[in-house]
Amino acid sequence: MTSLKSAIKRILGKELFITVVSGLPRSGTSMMMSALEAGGMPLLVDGIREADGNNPKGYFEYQPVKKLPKGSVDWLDTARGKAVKIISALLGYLPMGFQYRIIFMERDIGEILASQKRMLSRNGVVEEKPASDEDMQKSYQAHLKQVKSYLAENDWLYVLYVSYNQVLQDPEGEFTRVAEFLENAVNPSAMCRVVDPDLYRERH
Amino acid sequence: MNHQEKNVIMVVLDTHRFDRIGAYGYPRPTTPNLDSFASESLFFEQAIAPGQWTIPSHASLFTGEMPAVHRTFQADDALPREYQTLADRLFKAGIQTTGFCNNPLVGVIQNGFKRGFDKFYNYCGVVPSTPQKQIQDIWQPFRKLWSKYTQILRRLSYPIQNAFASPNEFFLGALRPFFVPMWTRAGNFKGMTERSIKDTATFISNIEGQNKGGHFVFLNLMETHLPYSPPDEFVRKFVPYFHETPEAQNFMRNFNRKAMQWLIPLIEPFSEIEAATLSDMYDAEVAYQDHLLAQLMEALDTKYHREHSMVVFLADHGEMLGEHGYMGHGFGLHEELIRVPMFMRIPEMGKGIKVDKRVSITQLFYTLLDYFGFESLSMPYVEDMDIRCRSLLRMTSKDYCPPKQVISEAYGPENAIKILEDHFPELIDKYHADKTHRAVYDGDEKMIDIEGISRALYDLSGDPKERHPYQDKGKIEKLAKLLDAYLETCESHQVGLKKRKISLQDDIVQQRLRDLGYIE
Repeated sequence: MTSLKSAIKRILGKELFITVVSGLPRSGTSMMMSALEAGGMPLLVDGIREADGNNPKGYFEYQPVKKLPKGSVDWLDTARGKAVKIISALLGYLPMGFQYRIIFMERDIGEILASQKRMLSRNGVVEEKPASDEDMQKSYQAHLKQVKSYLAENDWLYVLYVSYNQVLQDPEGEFTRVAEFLENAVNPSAMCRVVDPDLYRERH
Repeated sequence: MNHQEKNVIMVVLDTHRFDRIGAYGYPRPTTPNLDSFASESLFFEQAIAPGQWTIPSHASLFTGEMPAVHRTFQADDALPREYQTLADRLFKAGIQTTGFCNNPLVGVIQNGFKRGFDKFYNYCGVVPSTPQKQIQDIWQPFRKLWSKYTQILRRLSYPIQNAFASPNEFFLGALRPFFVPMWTRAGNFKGMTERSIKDTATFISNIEGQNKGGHFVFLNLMETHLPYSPPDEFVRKFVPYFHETPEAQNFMRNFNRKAMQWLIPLIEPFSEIEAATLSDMYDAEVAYQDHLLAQLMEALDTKYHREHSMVVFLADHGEMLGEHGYMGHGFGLHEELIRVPMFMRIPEMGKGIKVDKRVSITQLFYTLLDYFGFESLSMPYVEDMDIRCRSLLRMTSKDYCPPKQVISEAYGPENAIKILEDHFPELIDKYHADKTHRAVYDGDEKMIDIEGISRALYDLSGDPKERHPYQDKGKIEKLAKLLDAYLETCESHQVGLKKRKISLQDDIVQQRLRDLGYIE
């Protein structure tokens, strides 16, 4: 029904915003995508990377996103009225001309690094030149500083910062904020059902 | 004359080989109309396309940048928004910009090529959009209603048609011989050459009728693209043995349905009769298109247009018909593919001037803006670029400063590489199909470089068909230096683009994101 509504709105020329779920990998972006879907928002995903031990509920990815640096933006038209996951490093390639609502997930960098290392290990990836956690942390901090400054400078990008840890502690409160940010396009109570504290296991 | 009194009519003869045109020395009478027009034009004997197929070549024509800079070379790539296209810039300067297009990769796929066009008519795709007749009669309300209905259908059809641009199951399925006639005919793959020429001629005559300039008209013609099915009178003239030779008929019927083979190098060489049929049927298509162009030539052959309109004919790329093992325009950088026809009739310029110096058709971007009176441009990497020095109108001026190298680049289309991976993996290594090929010229010397893995020299004066590649350390070093300088310039232009982004200068972050599978 939501897709039909989106199609009708598009045909009538009404502008629909694109919901972007962003952040560093392993910062809770998949959890937020899953919650948005439960809340009634259509997702732009292709299911190419299937659920695994790293993300038991799936990655919620859309492969053409990775081509943003090459200027491939034609798919954005199909993202109107939907949520799509775009990691922080690719946000700068979003072109003007669309309305975006960016939900930016934040999580303790130490937890992110621990989770990323587990993911690399599960996937059997051997890093050619493994960086120390300290160096990695510094680099990520510098990257996040740059991204936040970019988002602040470009006032056509609407951003809501959401803490992963806060979502686990107070899902209803956080998802109500998200619903308000998305002009009540999602149902916060339904979103709460996907929060699974058991998945919050990859601490230090 | 100010720019509001001038017009430019740019006709892209998609997939048109230079060596099948009389003006370029072809002995068969394929192109009397183009020959006649060329005889009163500024005629470029050696124009080189920046890429081997539609996407990179049109992206360069529309931005003035080479493929290594605009990075738009796949069917599902889009022009970066940083680039103001030719039409964008003209439209903002008050020029009316109108496109008549028969190529779905330019007109249907949502890749930014239509940016800046005030009106853009598509003669290809499942729901074409063509100029509406403005007749006031009792059917007018119904026509309006029908037009609204087709607009909705068109909007719904675009995402579906876009899906066929990526190397996915849609695309691969569509190449099956059973489906090919559906999208080539019902999907108007080659557009409607006759109708588009007629509409463009009418539009051009109307400009004259209003006696008001300030128009940029873009026409893309696809008649010489596969599949080949020219009218019988042209078949009888250029393929006289066709109707009496079942082998030729069977071959053409089958080849017209085997779209997969249009895109990849030859699996095995053509037989003598197959090669002759393909080549002669191509000639018949060239001649048929030239015949249809008579109507456009007539509309342009008036005092008004001779005094106010610059008219350019060129090709975006040529076509391989089995030479060097290549077919179509997916791979390779031989002269049949990248040396293209280009000639332009310019008001107040003498007739029949021949330019033998090698130029890139990318320079046309600057040339047309120069004609309209632009002096400098803001580009993504520089605020104030003097465009006049790159303009082909100023080749005799001491200020002329074209790029130091004429280069052409071939990035293999992902769609075609996917076919090779799935069906003919042995051809990938044989032709280095997954590598970037670059051709660089120095006088009559040409080098084709494949990412440093292979470098072959050709002497175009003694070996114009490039049948005898050779090695000469000194010459290769000289041409490699030119290529390196070109790539450095491209890199510096890209840096300008990157500054506007969130840069990922930090290698360890980049590597980690790549290892995790979040970036390419």
